[in-house]
Amino acid sequence: MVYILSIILLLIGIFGVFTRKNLIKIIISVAIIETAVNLFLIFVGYRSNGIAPIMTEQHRDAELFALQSVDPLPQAMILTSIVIGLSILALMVAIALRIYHVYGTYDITEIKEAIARNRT
Amino acid sequence: MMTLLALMIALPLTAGFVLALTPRNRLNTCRAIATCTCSAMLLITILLFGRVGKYDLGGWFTPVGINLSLDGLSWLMLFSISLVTLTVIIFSFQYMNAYTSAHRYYALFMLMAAGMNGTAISGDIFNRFVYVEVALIGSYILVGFGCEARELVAALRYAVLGAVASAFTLLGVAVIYSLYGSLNIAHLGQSITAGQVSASLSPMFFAAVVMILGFAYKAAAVPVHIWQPEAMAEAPATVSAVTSAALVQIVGIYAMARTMFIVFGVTEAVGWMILSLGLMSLVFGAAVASKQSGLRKMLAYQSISQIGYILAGLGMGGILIAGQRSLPAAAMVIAGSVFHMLNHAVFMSLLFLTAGAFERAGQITGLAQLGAVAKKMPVTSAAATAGWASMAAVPPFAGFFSKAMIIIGAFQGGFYFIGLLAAGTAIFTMYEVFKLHKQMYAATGEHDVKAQKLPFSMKAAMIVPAALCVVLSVLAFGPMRKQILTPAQQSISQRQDYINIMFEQHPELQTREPMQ
Repeated sequence: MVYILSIILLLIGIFGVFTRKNLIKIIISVAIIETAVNLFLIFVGYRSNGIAPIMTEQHRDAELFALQSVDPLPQAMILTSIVIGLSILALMVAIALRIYHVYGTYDITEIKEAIARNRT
Repeated sequence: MMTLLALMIALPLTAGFVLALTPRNRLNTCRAIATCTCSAMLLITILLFGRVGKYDLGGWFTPVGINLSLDGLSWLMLFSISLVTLTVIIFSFQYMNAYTSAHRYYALFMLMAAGMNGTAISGDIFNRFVYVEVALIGSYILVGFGCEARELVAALRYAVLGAVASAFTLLGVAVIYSLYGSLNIAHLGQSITAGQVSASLSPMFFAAVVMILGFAYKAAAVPVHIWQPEAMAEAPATVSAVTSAALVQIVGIYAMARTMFIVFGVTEAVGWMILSLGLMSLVFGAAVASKQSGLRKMLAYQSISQIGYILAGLGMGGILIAGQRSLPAAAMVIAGSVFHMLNHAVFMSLLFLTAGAFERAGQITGLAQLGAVAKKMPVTSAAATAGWASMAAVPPFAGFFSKAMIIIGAFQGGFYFIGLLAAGTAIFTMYEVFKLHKQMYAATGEHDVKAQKLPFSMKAAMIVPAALCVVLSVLAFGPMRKQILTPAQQSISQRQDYINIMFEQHPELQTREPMQ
C-alpha cells in the first residue's frame, strides 16, 4: 500500500518535469522524484514494531536481533542517494541561475525563443 | 594483482582532488598530473590483460561486502576508457586554453574518469549507481563548461532528464533489493531465475523495464536521446568526444548488458525491448544525421546510429540466448557488438576531436564549410577520413568487421529483416560519408578556409586513434579475437561463469539464502 503512495509521488514528479514551463518548478519536480524513490527505499527496509538496528549488550543473539530490527542497509543507501541528489540539485539550481542572468527569465518557451532569435 | 583494480578508481579520484586544489597559474602542473594519471590507467589496464577475478573492498567476502570484479568485458571497457581519456587529455592541452578556468577542467575530467572506471568494475548494483552518478555529475558540469548561454541550456536539460533516468535505475535497484535482499551482481544472478522476469506483471519485470529505460537514456538510444545532439554540439569538443565515445557506452550500454544478462538473466521480452531500442536508434540516427548542417550535430546523430548497432546486436543475442537456439549466432552478434563498442570509442572520440580541430584552427562548424578543407588542413582531414571510414564500415577499417559480424550473426540467427535493415543503413551511411569526402577533397570550396597551424599535441592525439582505426581490425581474426573479443562476449552470454568467478573462494556461500 505504502509502495503505491511512493509510486504516485513519482508520477507527480514525472508529470511536473514534462509539463512545467518554469525552470525552478522543473527542478522542484526532479526533487520530488528523488524523494519518491528514497521513500520507496525506506519502505523496503521498514518492519512494523521493529527496533533500531543498533546492536548493544542487551542483544546477545544476533539471529534474533536480525529478526527484530529494521533493515539498516536501505537507510545507508538513501543517505548516499540523498547526498547525490543534493549535489545534482545544487548543480541544476546553479545552472538555472546562470541562465537567468543571461536571459532574464526562467520560462523555457521564452528561453527557446531567445535562442532562436540569436541564431537568426 | 587484483589490488590494481582498486587503483583504477583511487588514482583518478585522488588526482581529481589534487587538481581541484592546484592554483590557477599552475596550468602545466595540471596537465602533467592529468596525463600521468591517464597513462597510469592505461598501464594498469594493460597489466591486467587476460585476468579475471575480484577484489573485496575492506576484506569482506563476496555476497556480504562490496567487490570490484574484472572479466573480459570489464577489461575491454577499462581499455577503451583509458585509451579515450589519454588521447582526449593530450588534445585538451592546447584546446582548453581558450577557456578561462582550464585548470578546473582537468579536475572534473578525472572525476568523470573515476566514475567510468568504477562503473566498469563494480560488482554491486547500488555501488554502480553511485559511480554512474559520479561520472554523470562530471559530465553535466563539463557540458556547460564554457558557461555560454546555449551550453548552459543543453547542460541543464541533460542534468534534469539525467536525474529522472537515475531515479528510475535506483527504483529498479530498490525493487530488486526488496525481493532478494542482496545487491551483489553475482549473488543476485544466482538467486534470480529467468522465469521471474518474464511474467509480465511481476515486480521483476517492472524493475527490468525501469532499468532499461534509465540506461537507455544514458546510452542516448531513441526515443530517449533528446539530450545528446544539443549537448554534443554545444559542449567543448573534447567533452563531446569523451562523453559520446566512452561515457555513453559505459554507463548506458555496459551497465544495461551487465544488469540484463547477468543479474536478471535475459528473457525474450527483455531481448526484444533492447533490440527495438537498437533498431529505432540505428535507423533514426542515420536518417536524421543526413539532414544536419552542423558538423558536430551530424556526428552526434551518427553516434546514436552506431549505438543502435550495438544495442541491436545485444538484443538479438539476448533473444537467441533466452530461447537457447543457434548459440553460435548469438556468440557472433554479441562479439560484434562488443567489438563495435571498442571501435565506436575510438572513431567517435577521433571524429569529435577532428571536429574540434576544424573549429579551432579553421573556424569550421558547418558541413558546407568543409569544401576543399583537405588542402589547408591535411593532417586533420586525413585523421577525420580514417574515423569516418571506420564509422561507415569501409573494408580495411575496424568498423567494417564489427558491423559485418553483427549483420552476419543476424542472418545466422534468423533475423533476416533486421540484418537487411542494418546492412541497408550501413550502406546509406557509407553513401553519406562518400558524399562528404567528395566535398572535403574537392579542388575548390565555396568557403575560404583560413587555417592556422595546429600544435603538435593536437596532431598526435588525432594521429594515434586514426592509426588504431585500422590496427584494431586484427581483433576480428585468429588469436587476437580469441584473446580479447571471445572473453568479452562470454562475460555477457555465459551467466554462470561470472557467478562462479565471483564465488571462487567461498563456493559454499553461493547457495546461501539472503537474510530477510
